[in-house]
Amino acid sequence: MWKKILAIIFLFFIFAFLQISFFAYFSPFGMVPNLVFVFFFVLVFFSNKPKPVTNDFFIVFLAFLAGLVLDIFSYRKLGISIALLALIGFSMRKTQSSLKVSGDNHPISYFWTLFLVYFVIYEALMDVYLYFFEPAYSVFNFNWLFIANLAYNLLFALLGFLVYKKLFINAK
Amino acid sequence: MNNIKNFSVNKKRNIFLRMFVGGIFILFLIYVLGVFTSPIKNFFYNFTSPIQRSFWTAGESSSLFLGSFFRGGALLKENENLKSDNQKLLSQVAILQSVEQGNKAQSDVSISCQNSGLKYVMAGVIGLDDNDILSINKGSADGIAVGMPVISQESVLFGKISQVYKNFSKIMLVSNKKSVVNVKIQQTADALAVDEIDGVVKGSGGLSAYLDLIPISSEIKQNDVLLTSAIDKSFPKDLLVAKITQTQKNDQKPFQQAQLSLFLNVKTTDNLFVITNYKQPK
Repeated sequence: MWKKILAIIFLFFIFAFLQISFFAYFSPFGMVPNLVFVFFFVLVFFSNKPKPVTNDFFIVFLAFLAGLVLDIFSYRKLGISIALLALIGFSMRKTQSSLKVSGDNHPISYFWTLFLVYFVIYEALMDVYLYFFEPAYSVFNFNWLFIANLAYNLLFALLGFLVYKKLFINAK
Repeated sequence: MNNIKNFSVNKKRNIFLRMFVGGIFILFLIYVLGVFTSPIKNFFYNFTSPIQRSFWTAGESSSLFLGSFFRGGALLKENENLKSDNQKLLSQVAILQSVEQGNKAQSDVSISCQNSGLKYVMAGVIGLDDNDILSINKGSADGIAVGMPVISQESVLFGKISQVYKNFSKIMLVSNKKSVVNVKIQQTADALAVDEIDGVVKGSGGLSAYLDLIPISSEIKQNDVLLTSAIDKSFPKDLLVAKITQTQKNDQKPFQQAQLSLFLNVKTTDNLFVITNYKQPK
């Protein structure tokens, strides 16, 4: 259990470094993939089984860690990402538990649909927060660049989905 | 039956109570973290800065390596364009050399006056956030403060300091949607007479920007170079900003706009210079 927690903490930091430093060189039109969000999403998605559902603590732990890492390495004040990710984590659990599954508990069709929905929600809520609390950084980016950014992040999310499924689901 | 009903009501109350307590806890956490944002961020940046720098360098090497595969055709075309540009420039250099001798003494004085007393702090780039914000590894401990202009070695304007922590800072790039820079347009060199037109460069996100507020009667054209002007005194004058790539003129509007190619290039920049003693108006 401790090994798993340490590995998750380590990977969140690695993804943060990749996101802000390494992928700055692979940023078409200034788009940087949100790898921390992608990793958080993949972990929550696969931890939510139809029954029994994941415990609250694991979602809070992931939201705290991912949110902290996201905020530390960004221009925002600390805390907002933790709240948004916790909201998304619990909302995902609720949504996933109400989705019908047959055979495969984690179909790719659910994954990419949920990813798009929750990524948009995350970005929209973050923009609302910035608009009211940190207006110096508030930029509403709902244009073609946002769509492109969504697609770019989905690419990494699908990659994460395939890797996770191959390593931890199919291997069982 | 009554027992089952009571159990269900209790369960609902229990969930509501848990959500309420959880919500209060998260809000409290956000408040506490918000208060301690600066020391926490500084602590993490302090010990992760070398790692970030390594990732930055690794990204640079990888992009150069992969770029040579993916951009082979584009590089060939770019090379041809550069050769042609170089030939034009050589002919212009010949003309300018004769003018230059006469102006040298005068320009030396003006350059030295212009640059006199400006102090720089060199900082390494360690990361790029979304929304066109760059992180550098120098902070208030090195004399950096909010609002200071940031340039590259080639006097290209990158932006200004927007957040300062003890050991690192954030730069709001010229391309950030909140950025507005007053510029003057230097016409391309076929006419040696320098005609100055004032306008503003507004960031449009995604490391790009556009030129705005150019009077409709002014003649601007492709490849005109934009330099910082001294109008609002946020930046020292004559720093390189961008080149016009496409003009957009509509006679029904009072001002014309233009698409720009910014001179700042995050991907080829390892170090930047923060001007620490430029006096800005209060």
